[in-house]
Amino acid sequence: MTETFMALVPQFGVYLVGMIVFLSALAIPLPGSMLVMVGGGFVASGDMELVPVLAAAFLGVVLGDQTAYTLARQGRTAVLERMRRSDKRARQIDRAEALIRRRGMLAVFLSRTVLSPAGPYVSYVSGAGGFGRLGFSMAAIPGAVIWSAFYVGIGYRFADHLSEIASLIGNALGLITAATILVLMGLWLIRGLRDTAATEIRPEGAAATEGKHD
Amino acid sequence: MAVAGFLLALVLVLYFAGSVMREMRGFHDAQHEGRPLEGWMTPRYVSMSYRVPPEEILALWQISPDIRRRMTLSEISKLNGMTIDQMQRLVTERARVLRAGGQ
Repeated sequence: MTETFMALVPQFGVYLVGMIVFLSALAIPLPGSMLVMVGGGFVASGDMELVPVLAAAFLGVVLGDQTAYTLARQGRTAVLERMRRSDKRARQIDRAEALIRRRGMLAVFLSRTVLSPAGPYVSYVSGAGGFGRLGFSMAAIPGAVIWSAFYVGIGYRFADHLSEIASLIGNALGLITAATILVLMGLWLIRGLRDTAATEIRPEGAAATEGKHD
Repeated sequence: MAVAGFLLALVLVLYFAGSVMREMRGFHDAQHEGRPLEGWMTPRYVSMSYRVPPEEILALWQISPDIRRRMTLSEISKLNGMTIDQMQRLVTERARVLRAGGQ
């Protein structure tokens, strides 16, 4: 499929690049970053101009991010209201929303750069989780600048080895994402072990305290 | 649950780390070779990859220099009746001659 889209870039130019990037920012499985690299490769060969390729990539990401955020925000009320009917779920939702408000900008920025495979999902979660549009945009737009410049630059620099470099970047991003999940799972595991240890110790401690009162 | 997640993430880390290392080695080797021609490429792209002037490439492929900008090799193949393999051989040979300092 990637090859088919690559063959369409010389015909449809930056419009195709921008459109595919936009759709991939909505989590539609299309080779957005690959086409931006192809655009960078065509800039290097003199087939395309640098500024329109950069602009198409940047606008595609920004519009895609904002659309995903808006869709999730609009669907949020109905879905959340239904979920909040259960007290337990309502508490979990409140906690998740508080986390997004506290750490949202960092999550959005990282998901536009080193954790870019997670980008579309973070847009949806931000919209659904009630993260403010200003905070979302303040992290997403600089992230989009870095993302666009990185992939156009990589395409330009490694123009004659695009497939190899795309595969290498894909695996490197996979490694970063997996390592992040590993760290989070490790922290979760440690917290779980601590909680278990505290629960086992508490009855003895409580008994000792009771003994003192006697 | 957390243990299973941790082990799964560990397996993924090892898998991706292995892939990255293998591809970095392959990428280093590939940088010394011209990239095989594919249907989506343009004459200028081939010119850049093989360091053969674009006008020479068009002449080798018996194509007029006035063709539309960004015409792909698939489209050129329909115009000149050559397969991409035939175009590849002509370009590779010309690049070899130019590298050897020939005219």
